[in-house]
Amino acid sequence: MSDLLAAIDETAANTILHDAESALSLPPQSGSGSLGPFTAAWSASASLTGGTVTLSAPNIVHFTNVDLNYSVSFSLSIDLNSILPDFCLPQICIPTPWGDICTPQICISWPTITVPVSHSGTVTFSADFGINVHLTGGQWFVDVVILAIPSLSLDAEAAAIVAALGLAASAAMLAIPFIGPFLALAVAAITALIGIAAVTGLLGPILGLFLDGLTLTIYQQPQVFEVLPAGGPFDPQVNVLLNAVTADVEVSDKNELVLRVDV
Amino acid sequence: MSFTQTHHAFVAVDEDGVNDFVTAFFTARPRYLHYGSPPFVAATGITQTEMGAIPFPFIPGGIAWRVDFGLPQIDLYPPNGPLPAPLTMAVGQFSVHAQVRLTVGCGTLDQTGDKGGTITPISTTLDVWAVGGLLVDNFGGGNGNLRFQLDELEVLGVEPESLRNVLDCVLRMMLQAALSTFTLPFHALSAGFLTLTIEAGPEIDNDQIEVWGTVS
Amino acid sequence: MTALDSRFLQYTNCFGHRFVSPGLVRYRLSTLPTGTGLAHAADADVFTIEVAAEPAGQAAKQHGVTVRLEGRRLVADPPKLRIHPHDVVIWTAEGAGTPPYSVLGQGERLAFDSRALTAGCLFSHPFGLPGAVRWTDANGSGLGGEIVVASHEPNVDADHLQERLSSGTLVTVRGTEAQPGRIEIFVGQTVLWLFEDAPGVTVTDSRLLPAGSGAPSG
Repeated sequence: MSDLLAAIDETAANTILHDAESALSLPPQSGSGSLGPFTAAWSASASLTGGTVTLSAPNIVHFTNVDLNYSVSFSLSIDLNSILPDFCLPQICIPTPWGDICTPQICISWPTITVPVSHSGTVTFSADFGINVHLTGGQWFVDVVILAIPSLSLDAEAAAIVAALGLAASAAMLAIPFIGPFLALAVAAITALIGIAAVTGLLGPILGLFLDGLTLTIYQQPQVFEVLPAGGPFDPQVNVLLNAVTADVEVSDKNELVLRVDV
Repeated sequence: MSFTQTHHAFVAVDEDGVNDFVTAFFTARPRYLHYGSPPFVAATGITQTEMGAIPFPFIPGGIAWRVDFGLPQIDLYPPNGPLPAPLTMAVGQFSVHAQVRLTVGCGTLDQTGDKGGTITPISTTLDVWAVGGLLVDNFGGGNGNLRFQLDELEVLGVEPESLRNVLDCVLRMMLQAALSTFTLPFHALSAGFLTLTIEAGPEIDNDQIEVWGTVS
Repeated sequence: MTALDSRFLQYTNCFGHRFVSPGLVRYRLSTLPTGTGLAHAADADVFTIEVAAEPAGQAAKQHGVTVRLEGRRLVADPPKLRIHPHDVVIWTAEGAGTPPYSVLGQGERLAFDSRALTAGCLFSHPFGLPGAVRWTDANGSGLGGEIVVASHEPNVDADHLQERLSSGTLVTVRGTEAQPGRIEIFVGQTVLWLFEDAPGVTVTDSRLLPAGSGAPSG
């Protein structure tokens, strides 16, 4: 028999897990990847909200309909020469009092543009979490850790990003001389070359970084646990040593998450 | 049967856990087990608490005294063994067993006043048993304390009965006073896992203190 | 990249000069916005145009010189030209990689500087972006004008586009007067400034100048 026992049912587990969600700080991620034929540098941040917790043996915490709220910024480098046709201003000859003056044909070199796109969205997922109790750095932790990265439905998000890319590319190209007649063609080419599949192919792994090993800490206390704070010069702090901590899901007439502590 | 029953959270501290907290408390703050007057206790510190001597006419400085409680051992219902009669323990009660050493400074008074008297400590060690129940200080918001309240106390091996009755009363007051310094905060019941709003309990049963409530 | 400013000739610009008098004209190419002319130029950086004494039998001709970067030097190709009086020489950059440059020339009876356009100079610029451009003289003569550049219709076909781009507009400068003062063109169309007489002016987008500058100096 353990010295201390704390049990919570699924209702309380929802409260505890949502508190853990709020406290969770997912570190921002950045990197680069392919968006169709283009290379994109990206940075992303994410947070979790919502979801419903159910418990089941053996030691499974089911988290359903969790919102992964994310913001991702892409910086896409596009060499317009690769998508636009060669374009030359033709030779022109202008009659003047000094005779016809002709300028040579001048071929335009399209620049490489940088297209910045930021997108924020929410993806809902469900996943099973296991329970991991560990003593690290003098602290006891009870973590629930995602068991497998769930598949995410990203088509709608990807379509929004493709549309945003088109708008951003259009804005970036407006300032390019002589591109006017080719602007629509360039935007169409860029969005077609990238496509929803390419965005999904990049966004999925980016969001997967936030879900890979996703850990919610539901218990964290120093092994030297403070029972009472110091009360004066003759009343020092009162501590107990938490020798062992276990946590599991126990099933009876209710499914409960049970924490046991030996002092 | 679930732990939480009709509630959403449940916390239990078994008697070993309670005694671990008791040990931690009185080990950190032993002065709450050791009291006395000069010259036995010169000044209050972490280890002991200085009190005044017992004043009595024509005894200069009063009667020196000292009381030392051993570490109390708490047993939660049901009892682990028989209690000394007439003590009994029911559901919701605990027993506490402690040794207490009473010391007085036995003085020889110099009536001539030519020289000072001498004080010789004499002591007796007694076994005391007591039963009691829990008190709750609920401050709201999941904050509060459990305290231990003594109902009856028996001193063993003292005759005649009238002397025992005197000691029973005096030591019950003393032990209660010593125990009143020990409080068990709600957050410690779950080692910091839950902020518990108590809906039922605390109860003492199954050798543990049991509390039900919700997580806030 | 293709701002309107004759002081910095870019790969879409042409600078020209009509040589009337015979004689040897030496010139250099500079990437500096200001310069000391030919006096301190190394021989390798000096190019020549020899204007023959007698006019050609036929009409005046146009000669092209390509300006390109060789290492860190700008060179003219061909480095030496032999022309006849009234011929025109047009300098153009090799491509987008050629840095903005200027042409400074001096002969026995003339001097020219693309940073201060005088009689006999030509300057052309194709307009790449829609919008109204007020151009002025950065040297403060008060010369100026307006060019309104319109976008092409979204559905303009390639042939029509090519036809449009093949036509240019002439602006003639006499003193501090430009004719026409206001012109309307389409994106990609070229304007050619011809300086019959000018006191050393520039053709500069007024937005490139600090507020209040480019106004008549007196």
